[in-house]
Amino acid sequence: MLKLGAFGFVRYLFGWLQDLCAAFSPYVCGVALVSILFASVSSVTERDMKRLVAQTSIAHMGLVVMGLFVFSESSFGGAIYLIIGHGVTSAALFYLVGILYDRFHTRDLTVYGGLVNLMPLFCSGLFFFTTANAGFP
Amino acid sequence: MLIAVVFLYEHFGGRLDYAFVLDNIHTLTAVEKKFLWISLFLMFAVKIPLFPIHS
Repeated sequence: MLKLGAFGFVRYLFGWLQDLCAAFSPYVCGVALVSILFASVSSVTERDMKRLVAQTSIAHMGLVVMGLFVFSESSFGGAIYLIIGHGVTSAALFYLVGILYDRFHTRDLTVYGGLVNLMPLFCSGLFFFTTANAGFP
Repeated sequence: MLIAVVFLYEHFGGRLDYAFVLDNIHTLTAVEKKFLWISLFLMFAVKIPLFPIHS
């Protein structure tokens, strides 16, 4: 659903009103930067795993918006790439958090200590998608 | 969002298809274009969500 907003930016703002996008670019980049910083700082102290994934998604989408409004070919391509990649990884992470909630009936991160001993295969998947979400090649 | 859509609907005489608006967007004044841009930006910024706008 988050990507729908980015699609709207690309389709309507860049399609219909590209000259104004360039004019407003510094302000939008400022807002996106605040969004990235706020979401990142909030996620550091977050104990609820689902909220943690959601806050990292907000930070990622701030990066997407910044990439779109920087107005360079590589940043635009990177933003589109991040939209697609984030669509896969965040959906997978929410699914994995759902599995954990189903087992433990809580989303508190402190309860998940020693999880790798109980669910090693699951933890491999969690590690894979977390690193993918972080942009690890 | 609703304000922007109603404005476009009124301005283009009930036609809202993408290509038609793209071809006729130059008929808007600079102020109208700015209003439309801000409306659409706020609409999609809430959807994304960007922090100060969504909260």
